[in-house]
Amino acid sequence: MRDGVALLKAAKNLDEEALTAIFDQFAPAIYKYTLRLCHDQIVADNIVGDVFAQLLEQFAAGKGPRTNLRSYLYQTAYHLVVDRSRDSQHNAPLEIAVGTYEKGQFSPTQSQIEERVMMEALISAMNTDLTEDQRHVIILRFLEDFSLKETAEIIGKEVNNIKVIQNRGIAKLRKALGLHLDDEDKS
Amino acid sequence: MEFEPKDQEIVDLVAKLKNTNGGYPSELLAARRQTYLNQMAGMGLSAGIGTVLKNAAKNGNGTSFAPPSAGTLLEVVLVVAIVAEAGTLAYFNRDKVVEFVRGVSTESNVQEVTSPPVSTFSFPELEISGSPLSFVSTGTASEVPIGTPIPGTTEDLTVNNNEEATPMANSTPIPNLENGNNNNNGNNGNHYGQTPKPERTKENNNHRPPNDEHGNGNNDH
Repeated sequence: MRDGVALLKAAKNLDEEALTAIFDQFAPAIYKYTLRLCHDQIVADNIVGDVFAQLLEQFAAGKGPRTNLRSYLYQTAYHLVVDRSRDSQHNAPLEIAVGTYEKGQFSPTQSQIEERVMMEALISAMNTDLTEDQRHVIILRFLEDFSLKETAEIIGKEVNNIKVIQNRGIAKLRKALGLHLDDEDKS
Repeated sequence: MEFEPKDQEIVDLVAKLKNTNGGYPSELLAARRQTYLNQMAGMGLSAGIGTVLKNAAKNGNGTSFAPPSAGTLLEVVLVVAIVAEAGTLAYFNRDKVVEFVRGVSTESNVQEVTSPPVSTFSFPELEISGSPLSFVSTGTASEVPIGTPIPGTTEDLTVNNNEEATPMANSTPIPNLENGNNNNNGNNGNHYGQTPKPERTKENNNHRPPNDEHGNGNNDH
């Protein structure tokens, strides 16, 4: 398997093998990231198609990413998701995410049940309490493992701005989970 | 550390969501991959042509991918192809071409026939004055209407015109009555007051004047 730089160089020369390898390597991750944001499998699949179609067009035009292909793909996906969310304020029911989280857990223990309750609260808080920017930053930073700089490039903001958004998002989640725990303790 | 230590618990909790949400459904992934490969194949053809043209543009002398004579040969082939195509098109559309040429030539003839003469000359306006031999010109032109010259008077009028700059119109020629001969030079127009009195050639007693009928004592015998 080629490394990232060699793969990118070959892809820029429209090498079919390299282009196919890029799709196989990044399409599932892009799909997962998009599904987290739009909560719709069909929409996520369409966005994946658009991301790689744009990549082909950019390569054919002699453009495209120079160094960080992964950030470039996530950036394209991010813009497509934002555009779609502007067109239609689509929010899938929370059960989709919760249901997928429950997959494979047939006989949960007490700790697993507690963790499940906690995760439900976390997902709910992420979907309802966070702003759009905070949700994007939290997902890119802690679910997709991008650095502050990469996250700033993807979203198109300054690094310091990303730091502020991240800290405010975490504070909101802590507050939401703390309130939830308080309610649980009260009951 | 890019976040505060107290937030570590929240970050760990969020990180557990990495494994949430299922992966790419296999049927969706297979369909999307096939679509991507089709796009890649379609793009490959155009990209290949583009690459060849790009290389040709970069290497204008053609030394890298073709000998110099190949460029000349390619130009000749292109010119021949263009000429052949133009000739074929003209042959198949010869009727239209002939019709077009005829239309153009007919149009030019019509223009020649129907074009009105352009004249910049402005005729002077004439005003009738009391004198039959003079008129006042109010226009810009200073031309004098020229009529039939009057014998004996033409020179005087001409001199008068030159000296006083008053245009004079020549009138109908006056018949020559010097010898009692009604010589009108073939002009049979009206000449009121110019007809000579007839001369009585013989005495006629049968014709008395009207005042003789009253017996006024006038004896002509």
